[in-house]
Amino acid sequence: MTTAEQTWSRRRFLGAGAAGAGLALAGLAGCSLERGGAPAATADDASGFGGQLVTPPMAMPDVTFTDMHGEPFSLIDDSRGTPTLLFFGYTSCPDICPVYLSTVARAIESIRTGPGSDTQVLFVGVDVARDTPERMQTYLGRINPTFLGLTAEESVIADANRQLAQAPITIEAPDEDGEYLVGHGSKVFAFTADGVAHRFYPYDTRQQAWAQDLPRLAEGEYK
Amino acid sequence: MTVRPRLLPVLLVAALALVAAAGCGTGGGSDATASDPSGSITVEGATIDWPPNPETALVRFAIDNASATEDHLVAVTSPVGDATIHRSDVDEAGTATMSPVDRVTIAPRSSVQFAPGGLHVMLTGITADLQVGDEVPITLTLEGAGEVSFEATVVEPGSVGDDTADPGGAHDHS
Repeated sequence: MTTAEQTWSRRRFLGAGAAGAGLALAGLAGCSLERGGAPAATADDASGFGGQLVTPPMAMPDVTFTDMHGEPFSLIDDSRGTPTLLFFGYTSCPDICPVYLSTVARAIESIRTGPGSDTQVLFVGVDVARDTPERMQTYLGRINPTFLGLTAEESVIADANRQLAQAPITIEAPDEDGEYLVGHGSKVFAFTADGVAHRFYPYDTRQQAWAQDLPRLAEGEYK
Repeated sequence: MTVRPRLLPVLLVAALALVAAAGCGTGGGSDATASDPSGSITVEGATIDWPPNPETALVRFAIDNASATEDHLVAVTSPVGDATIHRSDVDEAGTATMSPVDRVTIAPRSSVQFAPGGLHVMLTGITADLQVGDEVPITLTLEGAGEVSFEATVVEPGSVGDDTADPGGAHDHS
């Protein structure tokens, strides 16, 4: 526990900052969820799909964000009928986030037309201080202009993160230059058009695997 | 948004880099290698993926130690921004984190890859508007070999699974 306490002393858990006393509770809630209630991901079968099967399947989180154009975006209502990839990241992230986003961008472009080509890529910017709508427009616009950035108050982002049983998002203390690091989920949740995630994918899933799976996910197939 | 004087997009080199990139998908990397005066430390395949966030970029390269003694990378500098070494990790719960790294050991007769998902050099506070083809000066400081300077070529971002995901891997300089 010593390590955990030391870690907590220099970290802020997203969604718990404003609540003050709620910090430890929120962290604990997330941890216990991760240990006890997280859906199991079964090792891949002979289906030919990449990523991992989520059992039981997970519903789209019931939260409303603000998109990078300033419009309300209800995950459930506004993604209904559209195959959707959901990922939590931050725009100052030089590594994991652009690797995933660039790869899936090239995969969707390679599909060109037909099922899967209309996959909506959603990027939740968890670092609300820096992930402004303008910043996300620049960031995602430089990768693929159809990708949509989402923001909200930290408590809303933490709620969505929790509904997907991901470990809590952490914001590190800033260094002398004001730079700080962010810990965030690296999983990409793939929702079929009915708003159910049957598979998630590691951030470094290969372009060919995306190009193979996205058309089938768009047809409602997942195993 | 002025380009600092030491960031010189050399047209010829930029053109060559573009040809190289076109020839092998995306991001072929610089074919130039850089060594310290003794020749024991060599840097190859230095590239920067054109960053989606103009202020933050990641430098990929391979550093090779041909000598019989281990060496340690202790500092990185660049005129375009603050350079730091980090390591990315994904834990069992799937959480992605980065941690600062103070010192990287390069064992005798071995090489260390700086690439996404692991060790990397991060540039922050970039004010220049980096464009594909630009050459960004980078200087490494090693405890034994001293300084090694090279230029990293800004390339179109690759994707996982293409033949350039492994920096230097597609280029044999032997």
